[in-house]
Amino acid sequence: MPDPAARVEPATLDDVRVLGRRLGWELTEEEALALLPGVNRNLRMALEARSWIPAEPGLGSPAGSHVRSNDADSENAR
Amino acid sequence: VIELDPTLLTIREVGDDLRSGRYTCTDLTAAVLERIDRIDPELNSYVTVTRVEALRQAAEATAELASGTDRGPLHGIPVAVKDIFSIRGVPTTAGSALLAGWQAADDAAAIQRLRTAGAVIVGTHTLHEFAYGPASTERSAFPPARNPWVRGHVPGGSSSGSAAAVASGLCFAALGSDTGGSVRKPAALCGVVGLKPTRGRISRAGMIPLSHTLDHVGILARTVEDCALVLGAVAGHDPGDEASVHAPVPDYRVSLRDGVEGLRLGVSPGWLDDQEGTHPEVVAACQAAVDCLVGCGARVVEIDHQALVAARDVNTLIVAAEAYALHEEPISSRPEAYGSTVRSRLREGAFLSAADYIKAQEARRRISNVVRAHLEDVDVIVSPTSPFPAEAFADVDWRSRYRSPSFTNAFNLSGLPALSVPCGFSSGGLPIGLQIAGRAFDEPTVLRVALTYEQQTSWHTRHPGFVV
Repeated sequence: MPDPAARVEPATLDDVRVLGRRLGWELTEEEALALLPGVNRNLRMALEARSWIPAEPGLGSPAGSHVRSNDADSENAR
Repeated sequence: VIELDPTLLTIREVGDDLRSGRYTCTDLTAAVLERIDRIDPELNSYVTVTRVEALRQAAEATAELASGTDRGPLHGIPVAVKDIFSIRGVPTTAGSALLAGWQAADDAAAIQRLRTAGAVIVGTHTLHEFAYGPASTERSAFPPARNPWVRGHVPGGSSSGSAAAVASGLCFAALGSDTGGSVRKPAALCGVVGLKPTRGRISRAGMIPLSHTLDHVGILARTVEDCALVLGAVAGHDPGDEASVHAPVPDYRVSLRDGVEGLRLGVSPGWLDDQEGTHPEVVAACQAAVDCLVGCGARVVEIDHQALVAARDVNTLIVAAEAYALHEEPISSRPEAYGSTVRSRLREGAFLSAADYIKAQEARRRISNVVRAHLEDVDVIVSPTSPFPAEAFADVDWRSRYRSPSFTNAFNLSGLPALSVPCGFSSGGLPIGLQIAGRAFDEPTVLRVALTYEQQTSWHTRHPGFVV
């Protein structure tokens, strides 16, 4: 099940402009438009990725707090 | 310069010739440099050719062999590396104007190992910008490498020049980087062998990163045995890479010819099905390769491909977040130094939240566990490497990769070893690759299956027409 807390609304051009400004980017209209499909593709993928994670009891959202970035390495080294 | 066509020789064959005195390391290096001069203007596979230093190294290797010092299988062998590895005194560009004029003070760890093994480094190879750019012709600071089989087609990437150069006899082997398939896919599209070993097997120290938790160093060579020889030279623990693992490095030659009798091949019917978006000629070639291995004594065990399919999106998310974090400062202060597509892809990563990233890593852990569980029931997992043969430059739409299956990503997420071996050609004369993936640090079994298949076929003996 997708995480109900995850963002399900696609990003808008305004979202792109606002974050761009906050990060100091000077986006042209063309650049902002070019970003939008990829931003929304990533957000859809992020939602889909959560379907791999069972809900953590009591928190109402998928678990994820015990992740280490090198989990794959630890498993392979066993 | 000797009369020699390196495209027809393997590292082992050349090694025999060097030791018998048929020609010297200097002769061999000069012959490769001459081929680069003659052929590479059509391919753009090299960014920098280190001619003077290569000839100096070759002279040293010649003198050592003459005096009885033999550093092993790579002694005097001309090799090159993707232009993402630091080489002392040589510019490293990562294919981007951002790094113009930059030179590393020291060799990358893998370069040091190549030198210790006596290899002669003849230059650096073209790549997609920061290993993240598109294959298109006009958006990078450097011209793209071309596929030597059909030069109007892409060689695959991001280790594009490495695959094109190895296929064309412009070096005997190359080191590349593989974050989602960047060694295996160009190897498949150019008709050479590409190995991404287990994460931690080869040090990444001194390699410009794209994604700290997914990057691997990989090897491209013309045969499986050559790949094994290079792996033996560059594998091993290095404290300079936090992912590097203390694990013994076996002699990868020992079990290469043990055959596949009784081995279990994990095959997903869904992965050998053109309804899933894979080109029918790729499906047919890979199915024939599986049949060939079965004919050699292996047996097929069907596996579910749900986790393998899901790997593509999770790999994409993790790379997006980690690549943005790496480039956060320059993408803001010097955006014009990036090609437009890479600039866009890097910026996209800024829109992922910390929770998105952490949960993608958790999904990665779970997907990796499923893949490892498959490998408790089978010895290797077999699939196509790329869903289609090389596209024409004019047809490239880099966003379309998100609509196609990816067979390579699961093995970056899990860090498990995976290799691409040539398994046929399309009707358009473009190579097709078969991917063989195995358990952690079980490169010997992966190489053994690949060599068994290779010995049953002649794909690896074919060379692009215009370079022969």
